Amino acid sequence: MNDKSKPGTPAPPPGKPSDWAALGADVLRLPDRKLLQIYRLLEQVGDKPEISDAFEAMRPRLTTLRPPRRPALSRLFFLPAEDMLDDTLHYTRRLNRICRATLSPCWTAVKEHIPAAVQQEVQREMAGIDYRDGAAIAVICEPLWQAGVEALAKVMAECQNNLKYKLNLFGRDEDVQRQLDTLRQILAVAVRVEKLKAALPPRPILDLAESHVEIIRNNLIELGKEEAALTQPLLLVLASRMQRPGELLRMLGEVRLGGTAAEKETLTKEMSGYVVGNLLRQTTDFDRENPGITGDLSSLAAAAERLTDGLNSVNDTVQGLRDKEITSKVKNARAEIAQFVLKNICADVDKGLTEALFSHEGLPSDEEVKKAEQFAMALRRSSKLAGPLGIQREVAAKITEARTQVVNNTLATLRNAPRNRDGSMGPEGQRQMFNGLRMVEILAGSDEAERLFRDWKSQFR
Amino acid sequence: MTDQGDSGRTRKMMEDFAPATFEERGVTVPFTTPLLSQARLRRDQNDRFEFLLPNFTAGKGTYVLPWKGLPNVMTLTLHDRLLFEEIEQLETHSPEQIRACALTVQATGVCGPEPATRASELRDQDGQYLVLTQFILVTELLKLVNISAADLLRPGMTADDSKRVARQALAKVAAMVDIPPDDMTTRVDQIGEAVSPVGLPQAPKSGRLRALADRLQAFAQGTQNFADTDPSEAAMLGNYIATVANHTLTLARQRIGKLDAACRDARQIVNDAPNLHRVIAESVGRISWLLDGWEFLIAMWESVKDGPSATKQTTITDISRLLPMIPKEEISAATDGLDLDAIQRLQKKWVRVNQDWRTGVLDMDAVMRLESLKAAMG
Repeated sequence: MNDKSKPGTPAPPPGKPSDWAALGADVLRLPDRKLLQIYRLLEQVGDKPEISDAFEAMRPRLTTLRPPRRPALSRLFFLPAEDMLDDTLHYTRRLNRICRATLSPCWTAVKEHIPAAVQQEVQREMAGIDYRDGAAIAVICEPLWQAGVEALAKVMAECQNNLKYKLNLFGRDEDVQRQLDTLRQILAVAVRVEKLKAALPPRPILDLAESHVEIIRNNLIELGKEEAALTQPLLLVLASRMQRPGELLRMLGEVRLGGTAAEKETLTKEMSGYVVGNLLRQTTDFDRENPGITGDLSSLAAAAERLTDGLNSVNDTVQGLRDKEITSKVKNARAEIAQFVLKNICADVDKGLTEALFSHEGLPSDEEVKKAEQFAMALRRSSKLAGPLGIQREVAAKITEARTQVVNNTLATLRNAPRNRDGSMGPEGQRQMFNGLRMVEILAGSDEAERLFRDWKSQFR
Repeated sequence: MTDQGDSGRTRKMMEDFAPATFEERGVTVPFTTPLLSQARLRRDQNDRFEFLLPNFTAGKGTYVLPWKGLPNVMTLTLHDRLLFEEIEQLETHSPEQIRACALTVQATGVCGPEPATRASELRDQDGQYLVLTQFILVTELLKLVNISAADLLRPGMTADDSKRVARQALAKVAAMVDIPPDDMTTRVDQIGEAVSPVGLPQAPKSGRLRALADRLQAFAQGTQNFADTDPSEAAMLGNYIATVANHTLTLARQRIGKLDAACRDARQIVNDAPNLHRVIAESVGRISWLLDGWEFLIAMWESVKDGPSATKQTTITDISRLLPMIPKEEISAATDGLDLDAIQRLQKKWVRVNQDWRTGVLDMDAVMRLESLKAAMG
């Protein structure tokens, strides 16, 4: 595509939907800058269902690049529910999640029931703000979401009464009705959801400051006073954004929401079911999305860490539920992650590390040292997980193996490295020594690294 | 009378915030152990090292610990252990000396390849800038005997010819005050070394601390802009940071102006070199104390300024805890308008609930984030 293409004049649209998918796949071969240019052009074409094929193909890269998105009206409409969306392949039923495939027909149907004046007004006002400003978007889109709640109720009622209407839009799948209902519930508290998102750290939320906890608690209490049931959609969105959703469950246990004790108990049970289910879903996706992967081990290990962290955070709640099925599901999920860690992270990590640092003549480049660091970090992360996952013995053995290799190879390099005239260690030897020490520090800790430093320093002076 | 009461309270708060002297504030040490990050080093009453740890209690005051006590409380990175060994060898502990020590350790690769490469680049830049500064001083001296830089670089002259002309001219300058030519060269070397961290105003490129003042100005503008547009409570902390940064900048610029004035007349090198050297060393020392600690905060802000607003809010809170407060001896009325009480309350409120130092295990991810800032520092 030509660099000079004017915005708003996209390439002639290919004919079949599959062409769009092919375009998306072709675009993946382009460098980031070009890919983003094409992404912006496609965005301007508008909300055509076939273009979603192209976006679908580009999605893996887009998730890393995170381009600022032009706020199309449909996107603004679904914004409060964005954390609940799953791709078609990864969608899990009966979990209060929403399949992306539902969005396009849903928007086609609801926009008929949302007054044109509301749509135009929102679009007009959006042009004047920074669309990364979540709090401002919340204010502007409030009328859209309010109208959306009513529009969705009408669409759902029409689906009930008119089979042809329903089949045309959503096909035969009964599950769609439940997805629409989840969406409707979230839209009913949409302003609060968006304001809350803007006030909290970006997802996945790892650390909550005291002020954040206070904001969440106040929101739950205020909503609870209006109607206890309104807290659920807010909790669903929030739980989906947190790395340790178990903390939210604990917070829920401590907050007085109004309503009856039985209502609170049901809410807690439903939320626990969702949180556990959502973690299990991610565990399954995790293995499916990374079959036999050899890429960035450290980020894979970080993902495993995130999921294990999440599972650990719901431990208490799961035990409290006394639900054998959920308990056994959690156990299986742990076993799956453990297998993943052993198979994909630990298996060849020592070889990778040694190759990056020691397989060259002379000093390794900065990139090679960084690669070796990533391998060492992946092992370190795995060792943190080993306890909860029950694989301490295997991971400990791997760490010992990797450390021994680093130490032996560094020693060999130091023996052969050129010395200074006075016999002391030359600059190349120094650098290799510190490269080795850095790996030992990551793998075995700073005390061990210091011990070796003193030892090598006296040996090689 | 309410007004007086308020300003009295503000002064009281300021006393809690501000140290009496730079020595009491301590010099920032760029450690990589997260809890030691930006710790300030000073001597206690018995002349032993102690550290002020702003990160230790995350907003609930500054913790003071003797170095000997640290290993019992937390695991230190190998980098920090080696850096401290280097620091112990020093006789005095100025920001410039600590920086030199830190770059030596960083260049070994003990805290990763990118910081090592950066340290080598910075040391090279320092060396080149020193040569440039000394060259400018020589050309200024040559002007006194009517020889310009162009005279040293006439067409057809070899490098040796240029050096010979320069040496002869310097000898003429030396003869003006009846000293050996070599002594004149030594004076140029020493004055060059003293002024080089800030650099001379006529230099084609700013010296390191002069450039840092420019970056501090951009930082103050950036954080003020954040304060003006951010809807959260962190805006108030942004305002506080920008105020202290601007205040520091004003003082630093005054000092730089005085230094530039002192260096204006090259005849002083001839007539009163010891006095000039003393004035320069004092000014540069003061400027480096004033700007000590800001480099890291600027790098922190730079790393998030295009990020999501929640990240910026958290970083602003972190920066506000690490601010190098201007000692009382330098303080003017610039911070009187701030509600320091509210600032302290906010800082405490933004403490991360899950931050737990008690385990004593190093969080390598946090260590690496600090190391990446080292690689980004100027």
